[in-house]
Amino acid sequence: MSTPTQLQYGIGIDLGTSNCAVGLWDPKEPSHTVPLVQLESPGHQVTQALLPSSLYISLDGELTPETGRLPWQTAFTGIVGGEFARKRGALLPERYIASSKSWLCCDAVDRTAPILPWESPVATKLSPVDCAKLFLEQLRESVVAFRPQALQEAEWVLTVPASFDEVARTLTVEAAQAVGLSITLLEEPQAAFYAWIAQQGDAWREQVAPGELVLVCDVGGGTFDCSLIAVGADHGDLRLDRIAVGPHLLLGGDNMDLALALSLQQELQSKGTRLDRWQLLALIQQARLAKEQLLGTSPLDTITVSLASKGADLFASTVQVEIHRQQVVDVLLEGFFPHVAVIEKPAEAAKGGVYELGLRYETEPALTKHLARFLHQAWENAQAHPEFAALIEAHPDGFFRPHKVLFNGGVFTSDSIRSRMVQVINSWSPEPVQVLDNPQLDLAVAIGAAYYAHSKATGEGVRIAAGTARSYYLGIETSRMAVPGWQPPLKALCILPQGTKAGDVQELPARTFGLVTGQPVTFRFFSAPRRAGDETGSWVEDAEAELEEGPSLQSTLSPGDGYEKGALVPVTLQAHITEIGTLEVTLQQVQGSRRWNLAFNVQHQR
Amino acid sequence: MSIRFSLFSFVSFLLAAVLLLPYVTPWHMPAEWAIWVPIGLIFTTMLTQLEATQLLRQLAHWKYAAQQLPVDSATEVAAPLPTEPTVAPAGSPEAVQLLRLFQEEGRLVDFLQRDIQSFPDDRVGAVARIVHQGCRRVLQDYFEIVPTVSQGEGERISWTPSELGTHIRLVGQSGSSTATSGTVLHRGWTVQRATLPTVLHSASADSAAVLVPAEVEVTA
Repeated sequence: MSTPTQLQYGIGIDLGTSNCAVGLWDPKEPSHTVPLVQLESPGHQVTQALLPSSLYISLDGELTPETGRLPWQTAFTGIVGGEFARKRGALLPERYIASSKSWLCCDAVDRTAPILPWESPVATKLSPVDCAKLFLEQLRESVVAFRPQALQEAEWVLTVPASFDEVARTLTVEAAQAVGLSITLLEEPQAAFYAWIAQQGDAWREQVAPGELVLVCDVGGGTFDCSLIAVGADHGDLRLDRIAVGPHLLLGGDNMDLALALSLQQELQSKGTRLDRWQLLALIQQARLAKEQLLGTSPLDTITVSLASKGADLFASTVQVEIHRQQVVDVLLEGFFPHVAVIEKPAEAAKGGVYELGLRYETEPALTKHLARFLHQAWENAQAHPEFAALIEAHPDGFFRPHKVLFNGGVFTSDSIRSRMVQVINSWSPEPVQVLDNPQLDLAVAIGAAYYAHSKATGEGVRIAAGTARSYYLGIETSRMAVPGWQPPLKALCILPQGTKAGDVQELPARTFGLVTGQPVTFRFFSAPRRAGDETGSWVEDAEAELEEGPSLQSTLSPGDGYEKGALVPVTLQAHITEIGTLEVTLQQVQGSRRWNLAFNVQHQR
Repeated sequence: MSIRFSLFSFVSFLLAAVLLLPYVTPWHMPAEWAIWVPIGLIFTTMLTQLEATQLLRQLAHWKYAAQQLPVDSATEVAAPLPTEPTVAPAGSPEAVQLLRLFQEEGRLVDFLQRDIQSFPDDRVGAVARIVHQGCRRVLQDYFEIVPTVSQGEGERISWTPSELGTHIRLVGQSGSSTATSGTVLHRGWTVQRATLPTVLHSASADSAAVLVPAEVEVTA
């Protein structure tokens, strides 16, 4: 990599669940997005600000290298990403991959195995990591087409949901590296906040005050992601700390469009009109537009939409549907953004029983309930750590009340949805919350990431301090006396406490492990989102009950200097967050300088 | 262009024959044919003019395409990539491409190919929504269209002689030939940006003529 002084501008990649965007921040020009090159139809290419995160596996012979290959592709694989994939995939669902990013964070499957399109009979399948690679390659080449020297001249930042687990982060980084990108990770809600700072210029300092909490609420096409940022004072300047991130929730704008379309379909059916599947597809698209027109700035009371089927005779197949504002309010506002008391908890998915393998969609659609729970959990977590004592004192009711809120994501284009969210948050607090202006709901993450990339490259500008949102543990088998029928609980050792910042190395010198060379070493790996009080070296007595288990960490130690195969090597353990934002666990030889990295074993799903 | 050209050649040939034959053969032009000579002359002149206009248009189009590449505005997101000018197959690929977009997004060809006389207005209206919504999206995605003049309808406007015929078209009362102001009846439309999808590959003549393929479902 080139030295930091050579980097002149920042590139921010928003690898979204439904759409990708790339921002460019160059102090010499106003911020903007990079046009993204993609296939529009066979033989036709377009450039646009958004690249739909859709992949389509074309039929044999449907596309030729001449009609399907983008300028930089040397070979044509038959797999297409972007606009054409989105349009074509809707008509051939078995060959369509959507929301591959949600699969990247799904620990119930092997994320490196070719499993997508999910449950499809097609012969060619891709792993969630392959999908990320394909999008990243397309984005990289679009940037290079726009700025040929960008790989040398720019600092690159890639955003991930704040709720992405350490494995999903590692896999995202690996996908980027596989296509030749050196990137740093940034959490999406933080990126949205950077976009706000970038747009405000120095005036942002006037709009927030020390002691305030900013809630960033990001509702994308398929996910709901939120973070709390605390504003503090530091030597006369403001400092920003990301103190809490919400859970990973598969609930977003697409769910809303589908809910509205299904409710309209049901109503039509009760009046005797049956929709065929093409008309239903059209209705889902119309639902998205209806959301904007009926819940917008100057909302209409009723809109009429027409749904065409296949067949050239539009007159024979067109069904007309009237959508009333009240219906949309009932389905969307009352369904997804209901007025709830702050103590109301989301309905939990039924525990136990047999799950269908696949994405774990939320069973509770009420975003406001998820938000209320997040504000409680963030408070409970902060309570365990002395660093947050002042904040806890300022919020004595068992949950955090945000002073400012920044909305992000296309869903908030609707005025009514924004104001409903504000009403609900205000009902939890005597002080009205202030909304921070976000004029680019779809592009803010990319722009903010580019701003951060530039600030990282040059050292100029504001930075949000953000440590790990979770604490991490290794399961340690302890020797106990054998008792028939009784399995001793697994103890876990904290290797990285919550809030650890990139570069802080956590050593466990007090504990030495004996490792056998030439044999695979496996540690069970755990994490916890709300154990702020744990420190490096703390023990958790019953790991399986108190912590969440992730994929195991493993390594095979090749015999080192002076050790025979099968020899016992004494090592200590080190864990740290790398500069690019991934977790790294290292074994360090006690007498000597050899180090072994432990890697996540994602092949063995739980 | 090719049809017009052959018509032009044919008429010119006839005219030349009629005028030259009396000198080289014993044949003489009948007196009642005399009227056709000036008509033929006028006709060929008109065709030549049309050819010239066509040529000028093409030149203007190339000039426009060349001017279009550098994108200055910072908020501009759909900057076209510099690409090789594509080889045009028989016919006009841009026209086919535009029709394809209107059909795929807005079912325009389906609509126009149907005789709508027998349908009541509400049926036509229902279908028009599909056509309007889709075709409008094509206009928004691939064109930037603004009024030609900034004045609104009913407002006064003045012009320079060079704008007459390009930006201003006089209708109704023309006033004296030196008039340089009037009232706007329609503001006109001007294409500020047109970025149709880039053609990656010029299809063979038979497939280039396929506007949209037939849609077929595999059934048992």
